[in-house]
Amino acid sequence: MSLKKTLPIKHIVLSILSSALLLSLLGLLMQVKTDLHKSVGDIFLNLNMQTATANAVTSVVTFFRGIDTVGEVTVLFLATSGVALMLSTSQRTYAKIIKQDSFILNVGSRLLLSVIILFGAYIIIHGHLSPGGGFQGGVVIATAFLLLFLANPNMDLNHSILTLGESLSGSAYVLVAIIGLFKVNMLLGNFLPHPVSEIGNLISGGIIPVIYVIVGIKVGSEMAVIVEYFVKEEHEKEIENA
Amino acid sequence: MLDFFNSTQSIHAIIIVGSMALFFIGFYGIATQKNLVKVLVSFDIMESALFLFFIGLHYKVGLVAPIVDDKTKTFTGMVDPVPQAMILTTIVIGLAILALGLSFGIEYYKLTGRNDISKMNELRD
Amino acid sequence: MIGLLILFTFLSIIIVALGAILSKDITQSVMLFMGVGLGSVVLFFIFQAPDVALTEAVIGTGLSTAVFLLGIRHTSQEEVES
Repeated sequence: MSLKKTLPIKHIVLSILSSALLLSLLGLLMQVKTDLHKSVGDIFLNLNMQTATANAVTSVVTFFRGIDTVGEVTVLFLATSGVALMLSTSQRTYAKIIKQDSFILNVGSRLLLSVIILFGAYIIIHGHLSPGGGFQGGVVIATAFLLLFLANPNMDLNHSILTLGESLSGSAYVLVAIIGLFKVNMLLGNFLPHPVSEIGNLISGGIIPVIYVIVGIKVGSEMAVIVEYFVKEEHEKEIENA
Repeated sequence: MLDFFNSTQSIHAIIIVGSMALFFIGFYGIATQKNLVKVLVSFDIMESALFLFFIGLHYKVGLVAPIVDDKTKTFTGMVDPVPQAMILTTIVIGLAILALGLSFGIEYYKLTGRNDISKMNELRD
Repeated sequence: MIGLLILFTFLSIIIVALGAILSKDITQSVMLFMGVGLGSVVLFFIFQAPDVALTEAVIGTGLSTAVFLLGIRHTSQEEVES
């Protein structure tokens, strides 16, 4: 009885078992070859010539792993709804700020807005030829709205247009996927003509630029809504203090 | 001496050690910091370490970016595009999650006037 | 050469991250966190991932910092509250 009490059998067995587990884990780690000759990326790179897109990352995002992108856009939508739920209080009866902003700031921000939106559209449209695409270009467009809000906090965004763009782009993604299912017998199939000789041109790659434009509209409108809620919250707080 | 640093193995060693250090700096921040915003900053530092680890371990000396141009006519000798695509979407998700967490923090501060996570005991009873 | 560049960029990212964690001022912490994103952009470009570098430049240093700075104007700036 006393022997059992003095000898911590449980601890000894546990330490032996855990050290054996650690040793076997180390052995497993030593056997892993760092030089993977045939990974899934190599297979995609070999298949990539058939999609006729110059940028392999774009074709992986929108074509090979297109279903993942649908799920990712869904997560983005849910997070945006969460932000809107948290930050839109029930009584949003804030008055307009009487303080006038400077004329130069106002005009300068409006002048820069078109240039930034043009740059974002350039990044989105050239997503299959050069680095960039729907995610990056959408966020660039959202930063244009951030600039506008910072210059003029009284501005109201047209929510009906944003909601329309967001929901229509979400539906269009699913619609493109289902049309591919009917025409090419494959979900997200490339049903538009995509000859390999056209690689590097602006109109090439079939549905891949179309999907990236859709993703760009969706990401841009969602990020603009997030930015608007964060700016408007502060606006309300300033009114309370004044 | 410089050739030793330029090999793929030593670059991978630098990436593993550096991103692990960055990850545990973020972990230390989450464990010790009291302010809610500092916890979110630490969270994003951990996220950056993860991105660097994933992208860096698929880089080998001599491979080029997975974009074909006039010089490289075929898709050979390029880095793996799959982790780049995954991390690209993860960065965008990270921003949305950051905005969600920050909105929770703002709402908590507006309700209680505090943002000290060691004093969060509203759900105790 | 490229190995030394990666090493120094990693060291500077780690120093900036330590500063962001240990700083007492929240605004300073957020601005130092932007430095982590900038160093990550350089490293992604070295690792032949221009898509990820562009994404991190737009999001990690641009919109993420803006969202942080817009958010912390509601909360208190001090580290420890009385």
